[in-house]
Amino acid sequence: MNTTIHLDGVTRRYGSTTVLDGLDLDLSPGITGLLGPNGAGKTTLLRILATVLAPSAGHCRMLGLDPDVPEERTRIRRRLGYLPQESGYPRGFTAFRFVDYVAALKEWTERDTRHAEVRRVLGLVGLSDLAGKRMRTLSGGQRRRATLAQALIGSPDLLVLDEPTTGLDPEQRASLRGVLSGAGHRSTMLLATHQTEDVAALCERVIVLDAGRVLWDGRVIDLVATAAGKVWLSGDEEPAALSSWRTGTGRYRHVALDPPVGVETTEPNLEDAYLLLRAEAASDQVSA
Amino acid sequence: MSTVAVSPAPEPVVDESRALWAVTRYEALRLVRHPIFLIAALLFIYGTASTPFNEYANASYDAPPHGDNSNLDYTVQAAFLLGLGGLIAMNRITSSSGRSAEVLNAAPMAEPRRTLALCLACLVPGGLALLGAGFVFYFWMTDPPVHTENWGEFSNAELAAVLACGVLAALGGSLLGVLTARWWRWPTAAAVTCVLLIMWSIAGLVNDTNALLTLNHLGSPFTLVSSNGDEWSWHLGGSWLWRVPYLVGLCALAAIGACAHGSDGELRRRQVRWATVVGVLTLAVLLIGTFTGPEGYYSWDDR
Repeated sequence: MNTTIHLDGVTRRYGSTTVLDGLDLDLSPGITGLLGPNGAGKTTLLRILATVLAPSAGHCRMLGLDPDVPEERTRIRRRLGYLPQESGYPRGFTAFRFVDYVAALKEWTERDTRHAEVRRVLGLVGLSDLAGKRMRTLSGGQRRRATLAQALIGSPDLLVLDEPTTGLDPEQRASLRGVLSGAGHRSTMLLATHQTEDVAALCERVIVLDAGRVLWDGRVIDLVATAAGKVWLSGDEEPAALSSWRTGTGRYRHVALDPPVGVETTEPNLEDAYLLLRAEAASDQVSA
Repeated sequence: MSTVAVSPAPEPVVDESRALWAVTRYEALRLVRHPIFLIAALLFIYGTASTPFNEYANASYDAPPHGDNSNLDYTVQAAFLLGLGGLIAMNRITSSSGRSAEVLNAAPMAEPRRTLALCLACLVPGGLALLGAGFVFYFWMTDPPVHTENWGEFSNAELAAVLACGVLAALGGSLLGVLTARWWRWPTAAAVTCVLLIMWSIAGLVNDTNALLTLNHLGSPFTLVSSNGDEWSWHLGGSWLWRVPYLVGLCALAAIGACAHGSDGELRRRQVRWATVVGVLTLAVLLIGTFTGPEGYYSWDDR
């Protein structure tokens, strides 16, 4: 198995707060989902992989190179696409100019070639018609797509995406999944999100982070399988359940670590499995 | 699970110089399109181009020399229009890019090189000021004005030095805009810098022959001459020729200081070495300029 990214005991602290705690991780080509609650350390991990943040301790190797060495860091960046969780835009830039500016910083020196590439990536994210519009006049979802477009410039070998589908409508999300799945075939992609459906739809592997540690690292279907028999439907509320809500059909859907005997179980999904995993970890902590 | 680290794939050959110029071109275009710089540049062009047609042109021989001192207008215009205009515009352009810092910091062109591109874009106001200086110098040569009588005789080299100070003020002001944007990331940094510069320049106008005041006079980046207008006398402390390398040194220090933001490792150590060398040389030429130039007043009656 080829390893694109190798993290060895990576720790990141902000003052006295430890955000990542001795993370060991290997990533290979393909799309890997990254799930975790707010504050789990997902964004910090992605920033380290995007070479914009250095770990406080531990060591990373990316694409066979060491990001601590300035020359090697530059070489990593030449093969990297990064979509941060939040990004501003230089004042007065159109979507085209913004992506073109980043392309220039990515050392696309030939103007015509660069412009062709900018048009290509804007087309990929469905912004061709809005390329001439100023960034500040675009909607949040359109700006998000423009920022994603810059990450796709040059079809990078390593894609680090922090919540790429946030703010997108269902159509845009579906279309973006097509783009990401295509890019994931050619590269190593780490996709952090709160949208478990995106992970279920796109990723073969999922990593769940909690309090800076890996709670789960494995195949998506294996994680979903852990929830088998723990999700059920009934006509009444179940206060003891981990999660319980009334569905559109009028029946209640419950998720619990210990479901009552003889209930009518139903097919679990990734979200159920994620909730159960987190609950299990919390109960382990309490019992420990 | 056995793992095999991916060896670096063949990378595209990147010409870093071309990449730098591509970004410089981008930043220069952003500067040219910036409304503050645009207005400042238009006023400067108008002011410089109208020099041959204002009363200065006729003041050389017939009008009372003190009736018009616009022979200095060029340098003042370059400093206050292109210098301060460039400072504010470059500060805003640099800060504006900072909003996408997270995206830009993951680009192969690292922050020090991006800053270098911004510094190179400052050649736009510097170049515009140089064109203006050439125009005025030619005009001075073909129709020598009264200032030589006001200040005593100036050699052509000294005239060129006075004009060069305007060019360097235009360049240096813009570089200062980049420097402040990199290190002072609060909204009114550019305005505060402008006010401080103007206050320093005003302090440099103190009219005395004291060496310390001459040092301050010559050291203040935008100050040219001092005058006590009531008596029509002029004080020109220090050497203009030595003031040119002093301003070059200030420009270099501003550029090195700006590029030092976000640098690390060997690059940072190299920058510190350069800044030390340039800083010492800059201080040395300022001191030489202070103690070697003409001193005292050139009053109207001294002509």
